[in-house]
Amino acid sequence: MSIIGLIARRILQAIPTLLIVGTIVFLTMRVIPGDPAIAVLGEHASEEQLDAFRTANGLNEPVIAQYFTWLAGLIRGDLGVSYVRGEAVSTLVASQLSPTLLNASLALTITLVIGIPVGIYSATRAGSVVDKVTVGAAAVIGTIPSFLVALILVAVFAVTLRVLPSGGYAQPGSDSATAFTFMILPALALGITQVGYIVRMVRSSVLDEVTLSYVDAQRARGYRSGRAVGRAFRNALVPLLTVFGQTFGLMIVGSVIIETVFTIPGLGQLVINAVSRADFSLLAGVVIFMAVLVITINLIVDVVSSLLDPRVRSGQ
Amino acid sequence: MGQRNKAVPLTAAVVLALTLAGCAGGGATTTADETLDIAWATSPASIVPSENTNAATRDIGINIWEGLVSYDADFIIQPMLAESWEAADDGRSITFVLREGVTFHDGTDMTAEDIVASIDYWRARNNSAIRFLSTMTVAADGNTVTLTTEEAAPILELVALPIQPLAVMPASLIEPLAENENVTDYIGTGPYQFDEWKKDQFVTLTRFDDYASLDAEASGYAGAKAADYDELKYWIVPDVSARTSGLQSGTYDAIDQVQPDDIERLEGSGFTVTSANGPWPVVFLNHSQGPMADEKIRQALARSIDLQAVSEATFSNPDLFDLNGALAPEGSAYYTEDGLEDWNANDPEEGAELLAESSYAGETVKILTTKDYPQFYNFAIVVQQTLEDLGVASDITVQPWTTLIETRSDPANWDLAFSNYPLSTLPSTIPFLAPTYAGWPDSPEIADALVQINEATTDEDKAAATAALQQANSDYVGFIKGANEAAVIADAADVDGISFVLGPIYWNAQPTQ
Repeated sequence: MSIIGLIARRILQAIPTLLIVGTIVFLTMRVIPGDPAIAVLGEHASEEQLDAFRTANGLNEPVIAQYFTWLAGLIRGDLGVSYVRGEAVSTLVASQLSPTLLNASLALTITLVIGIPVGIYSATRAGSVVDKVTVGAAAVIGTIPSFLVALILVAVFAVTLRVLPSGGYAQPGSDSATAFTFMILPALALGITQVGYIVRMVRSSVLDEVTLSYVDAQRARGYRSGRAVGRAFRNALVPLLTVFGQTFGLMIVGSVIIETVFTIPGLGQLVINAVSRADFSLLAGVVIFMAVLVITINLIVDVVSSLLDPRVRSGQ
Repeated sequence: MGQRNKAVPLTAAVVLALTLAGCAGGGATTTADETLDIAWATSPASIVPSENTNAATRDIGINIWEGLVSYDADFIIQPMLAESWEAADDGRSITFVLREGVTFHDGTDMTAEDIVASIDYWRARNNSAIRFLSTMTVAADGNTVTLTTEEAAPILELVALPIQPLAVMPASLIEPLAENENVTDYIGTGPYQFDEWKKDQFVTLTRFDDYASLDAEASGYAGAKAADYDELKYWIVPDVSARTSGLQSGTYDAIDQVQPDDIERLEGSGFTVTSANGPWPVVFLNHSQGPMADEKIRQALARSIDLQAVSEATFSNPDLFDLNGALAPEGSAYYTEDGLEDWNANDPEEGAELLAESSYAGETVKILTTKDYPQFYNFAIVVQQTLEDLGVASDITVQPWTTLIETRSDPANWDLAFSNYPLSTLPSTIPFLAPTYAGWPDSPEIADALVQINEATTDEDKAAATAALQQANSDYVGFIKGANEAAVIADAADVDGISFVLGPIYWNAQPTQ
């Protein structure tokens, strides 16, 4: 199958997935009682005010009518308008996408910079004490929730040492150095928790390769062991790319918690606000967008993998 | 082999591309030295105080907008944009004389026409004004504005309401609006003017250099106001630990809604912690159906419950709550301790007797609460224990706050629910005494006491009418009021002058000299 064919097939497959995701989110939020009018106007607002708000936002329509209006918009690419913010969901997503992507990208970089060398090193020392300690530590790190790591980092670097801000976000364009200081702790918190997983996956993938005869053959031909392992890692990279892509997707989803702890105006903050204020249209829109993002990342990984390894394209 | 060599650069390219994509958007900016950075718990849906009942809206908006009058720290009404006023003896009209030389942030002079338009804007939105001022006419005459109602009403107290208060803005902004349309230009007369609002992220206000301050001692919302900081910046930080660590790390100069458990630690680290009049928790009872429709069962619960235990569940420090059942704040003309004999009786034996006289036949009481506000959940747990001790079965449902409010709109869903309410400067405006409010109380004695409060013109009558309301509420158990609990804020050692009435006041804050 050609690359274009692969992309086309994936996009077609994504359509029902997105419809199902959107429908579940939309209907679930409608089944659970909750009133965005209260979130906007307050608990003690007058009935007249509440009713005017509900009418203006179509909330007095039957749920099924609201659903089809929303679905028709979705098919046109219109994610609707946030009840509480009064702005188009697509505008809100666009304005809050960059902090999430930036944070997840930095976190992935941290994870890979630490995880790949440690994983390879551990694989080359398989069975040794160092390897066992590494594998054990990786398993333990993987179980620590990211918010706990975040709180520990804040306590040490922001509160005690006062060398980094405890939260907030600055646009990288204006003052990049300051912007970077805001991103260090959130990226570390998100990245550290995934390092263990990456170490284990790199280790096992490289280990699979080094046990293959071609590595022994290379060694027999007089290649240095490091070079042989390097080649083994390159061959292991195709399956690992999928792992890295999944990790990136997990980091975007994981940003919901990290953005709350560090007060970052990203997609996670939109999700939390939408849930707490019963802002159904915003929540459905953001979840759909996150699903698109994860599907896109997977697609990119597949395309890159197929470029690297024709067997992926041919489905072998 | 050639294709495989691309692997590393391709991976790097993907990471780099995503990183650069991440750099393309907007976000908050950093702070300047002359800015008071405040970590604010609740994101306001609006910043115009007349538009909704949320405290977060009022507490930010009162820097920008002012009313005709304001409450001082002792809950006495004082001049603000009105320099004086005269009320008719029959309580049906009041004339305000406006201060001269007051300018709006757009440089125009404030006139009586602006007051008329602003009152109309406010009364169309404020629930208490809708209830009690529906017949009011507002007339401007030179430098005065006269408000006249067909029936006696506490016009001054309503215009002074600190919940969803009147905000004076130019008539030119209000007149072009359609019905229910809100203003989008934020122009008032206050010491700080609007600069920028990035929803859910921050609100920035800057000093208004031409602010016409009163020449009177600053007290509460009243008196002289000064903008010592160039900028007030309210950062929206909903996570309590993020606010606290932000204060400790120097990211913020001041924070609101401090967790009681953090007070000692913050004080020990040199931060100033202020605790003042927070809202009181309240139990709503469903009077329309279910077991709580029986007055005896309501009384059994109200007489048995230990309200000290309720507050202790939230505050380990007894200085942070005051076991006082009065509906109005101390100092107010409506404050009285009469009619409170049965409040917090904490007498399970009397409760058991009342239950024995009731129609209770083993029904399960449906308790509706939320964990969004831990004190509401704590209250529910204490109530459940009280019911269990009485031999009444109960079942707790925990829901998100906005879900709970919708759930409680249907009387079939619940018997007991929880909320809170700020100290009420006018007890007749307590919304859950209205027969239409969730709980649907229907008591002629309460209705009569509300009328008495609204017709009272002397301090003596105001206190007597409130005593009647407190007694009627105690007998009928319209709602169960908890202790007055403290709201807690904190600020850094290098900030002075922050005060608190019903919320934090930052306009007289200044860097420590």
